[in-house]
Amino acid sequence: MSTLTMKQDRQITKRQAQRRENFQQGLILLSLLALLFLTLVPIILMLFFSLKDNGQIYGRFWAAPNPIRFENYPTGYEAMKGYIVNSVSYAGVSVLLVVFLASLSGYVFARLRFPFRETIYLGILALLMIPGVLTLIPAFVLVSQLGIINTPWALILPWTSGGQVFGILLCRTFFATLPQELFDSGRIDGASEIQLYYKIAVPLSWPIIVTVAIMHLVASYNDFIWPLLTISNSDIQVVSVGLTEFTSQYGITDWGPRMAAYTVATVPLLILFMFGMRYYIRGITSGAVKA
Amino acid sequence: MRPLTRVAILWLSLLLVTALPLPAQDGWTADAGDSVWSLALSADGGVQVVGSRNNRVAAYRTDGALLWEFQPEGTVWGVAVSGDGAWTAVASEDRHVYLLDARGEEVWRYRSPRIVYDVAMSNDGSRVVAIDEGRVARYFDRASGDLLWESNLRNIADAVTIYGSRAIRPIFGTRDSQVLLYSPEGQRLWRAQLDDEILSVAVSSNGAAVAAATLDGEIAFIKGNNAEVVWQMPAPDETRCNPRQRNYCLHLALSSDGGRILLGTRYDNLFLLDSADGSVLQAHPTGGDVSALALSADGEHWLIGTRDGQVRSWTATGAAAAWRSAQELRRNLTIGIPAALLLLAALASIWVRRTDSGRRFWLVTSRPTRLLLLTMWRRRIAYVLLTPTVILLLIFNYYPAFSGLYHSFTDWNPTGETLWVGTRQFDNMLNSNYFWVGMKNAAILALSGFLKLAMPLLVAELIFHIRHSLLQYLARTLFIVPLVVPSVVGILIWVNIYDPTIGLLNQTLISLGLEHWVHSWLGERATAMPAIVAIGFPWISAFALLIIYGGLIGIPQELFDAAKVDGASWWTRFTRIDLPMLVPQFRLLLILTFIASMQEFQLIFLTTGGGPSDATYTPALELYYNATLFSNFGLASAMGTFLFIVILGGTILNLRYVRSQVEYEA
Repeated sequence: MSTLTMKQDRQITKRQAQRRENFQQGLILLSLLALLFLTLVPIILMLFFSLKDNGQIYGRFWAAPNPIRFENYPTGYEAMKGYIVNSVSYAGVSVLLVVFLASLSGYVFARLRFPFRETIYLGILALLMIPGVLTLIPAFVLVSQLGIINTPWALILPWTSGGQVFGILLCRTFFATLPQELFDSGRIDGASEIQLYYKIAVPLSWPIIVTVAIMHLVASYNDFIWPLLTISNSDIQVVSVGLTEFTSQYGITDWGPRMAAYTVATVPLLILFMFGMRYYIRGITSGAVKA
Repeated sequence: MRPLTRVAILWLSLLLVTALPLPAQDGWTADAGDSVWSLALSADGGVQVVGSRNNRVAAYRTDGALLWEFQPEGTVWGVAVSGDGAWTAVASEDRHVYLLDARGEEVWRYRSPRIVYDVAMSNDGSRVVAIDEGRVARYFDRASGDLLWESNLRNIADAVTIYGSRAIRPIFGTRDSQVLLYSPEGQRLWRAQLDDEILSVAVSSNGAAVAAATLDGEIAFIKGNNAEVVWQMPAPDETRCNPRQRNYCLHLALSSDGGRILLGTRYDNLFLLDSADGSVLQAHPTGGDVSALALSADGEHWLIGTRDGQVRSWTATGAAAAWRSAQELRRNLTIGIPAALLLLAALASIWVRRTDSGRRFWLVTSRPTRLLLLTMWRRRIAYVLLTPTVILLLIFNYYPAFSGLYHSFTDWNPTGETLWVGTRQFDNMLNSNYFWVGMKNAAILALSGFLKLAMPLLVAELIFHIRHSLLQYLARTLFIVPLVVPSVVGILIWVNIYDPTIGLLNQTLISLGLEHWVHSWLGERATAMPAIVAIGFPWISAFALLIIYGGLIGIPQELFDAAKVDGASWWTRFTRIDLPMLVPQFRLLLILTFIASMQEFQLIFLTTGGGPSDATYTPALELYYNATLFSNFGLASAMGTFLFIVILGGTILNLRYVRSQVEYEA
């Protein structure tokens, strides 16, 4: 066999491999596209219905919205406005507290040496093993007996307390990676532990602090059973429970405005993820590595 | 030193003596041999009559000596005795009402067409009233045995009582929840409607007060002149019964002035209640399910019978003393233990400070402790900074967890008295049909959740194999877009998709010409659970995707290169490299899926609420309903504890099993 034909052969197999490769890639992309479409069906349906009225939904299910009912959105916004303000403010206060407490405790566990450090740390981590169903009813009785039931504090304090645990885990791991020299030089310059915390540790740790904040914000915004149990006054209710009661509260029975309200309820998380998706993903993956 | 020791010993022994409970042994006990279904007492307690399941009636004296015995042909369902103890009436399964004299000899008998359920006799012994399985009440003259009248009550009555001296009126409690007062001539005077089957009725001697216990565990206090229900409340230990337990659920008696209620329950408790408001004056353990109870007209003698055949006679004075000493014991323990500890501490400090041996002992043994305390003091800043975190966690996380564990052994009443009931809540839970349906559904959710993890794995692999890095990034980002939708919104949209008329699912089926496949998906028993499992189709959880994809990225490139050199097929690579390297990620996902499925509440609550009937119940949903709808906090805590143990066990199993796999693979 001549060298020429061998070269040709090699070129042909290379081209074949290339073609097969392209075919494979196309197949992958096509199947991903199909799966993506199926995954997004509920969101598409929500947006689609939110622009129709009941007549259009019942009469012409598959037809495009015509006329487009933009007025569903003001109605939906009106219904969700109060709930969103409540959710964002309670979750906001809780996030501030969690970020402060988790970073402080994370700093103490990572950078200070003191008797019973690991015992206390394990005592905190052990709480990750306690499921919500065990504490749900006793915690409900507790907030009733503390007299804070049906007030924002019934949400903020338990959220803060529970949210700290994972935050401490993340912060301790991150602070432990900071170089010791930074803290040593700070100590030589006469800085107190508290100054070392907020002048050295915190400024270097924004990524992890933002991660803790976003994880906690999303968890609080999505919490359902606890507000359902502890908040009965509709004026101070949060979005997740509000979504189930606004139809009776505002007399909205049409599907269009309801879907518009669902869309409006999604906006705060949308904004949050536009800024912080990166941090959220980091939180999830670093949590996975630890577990 | 020596006198001090003596004083201390004196103090301690004093404390112990006052702390010991006084034995409340007065009255007598007897073994009836079988369930005690009925008890009666003469006005002064001089004659105490016991009727039991083994066809036996026995009469005892106050001191417990047997007066006489009588054996009808069937189970004794009811006994009644006149105020002077001279006459006894017996209701039996052998379809007879018997009248016995003071020696237990039969004077007359009446043959009833059906089983006789209960009997009552007026205080003066002149009238007897009996009720039977055929819903008929019969009113007899005691002396002649003549039937004066009979009346159809329209429903089975399980309880009867009687009062009055000139006009002697019977009161019946029926299975259709009514308390009925009849005149001596057999006319109905009034009717009080309660909420469930009447198990027991009692009346004061002048008829002004009537008390009734119902199958739903409630006690009602009714005015005798106008049938007005003054108050109604659950038994203090929140006894709950099903109809099969009606014979030993709740029994009550009323003092002759109507001021006190004596209540015996299936939960082995005896309560003395104040009729004014139902508050608990005394509580005693009975050692068995109370199946019968009697109170003498003078209020001094109590007779309690249990389902396992124990009869115990109490005196009111003895009971009061027992209650007082139990209270004292509780008080002394709460005061005495801290006091004793303080005393010990004081003695120890004197020994250490005043004696040479003590000082030497202190110096040697306390050295490590003192050094530790010194270090802790030097590093106090750490503890100060941790204080807010630790305090919050103790209050809102640790306390509720231990409270839940503790209260699962009680009948928890956050605003009133909480009783220790041992493992009864767990018995109730395990005997509940809803609970087992719930566990089955939780298992279905967990298993389907495990299987669904295949989808994020598939997508992660596909994205991982995209060559074009921008497209890869784009695909990863687009698949996690659903994270922005709040979880409640996501579920509510699926409720809309399953809507029978405008749901996307049915509309799609109709446009495909598959009308006969159309269902009310969440509303039908057969489709509800599969529909809930299918929610989220195609089940590409953004969370699982991120974790699996993160795991894939973390696999060292050399492994893939090596596989390529060896000419491994993609399948070999997938099973030999990807899957083993992803074991830690899957271990986490399996655990999280298991935990979430065992506690699933939101998904069910927002879609079916557990229905249709009980098709989609989950344990967490039942826990929530028990706490919110039925205020049954003890049972809810027991369920929480049970789920905690299941989750903990599952997690440990998962960790061990999956880890051993890794070691095997490696």
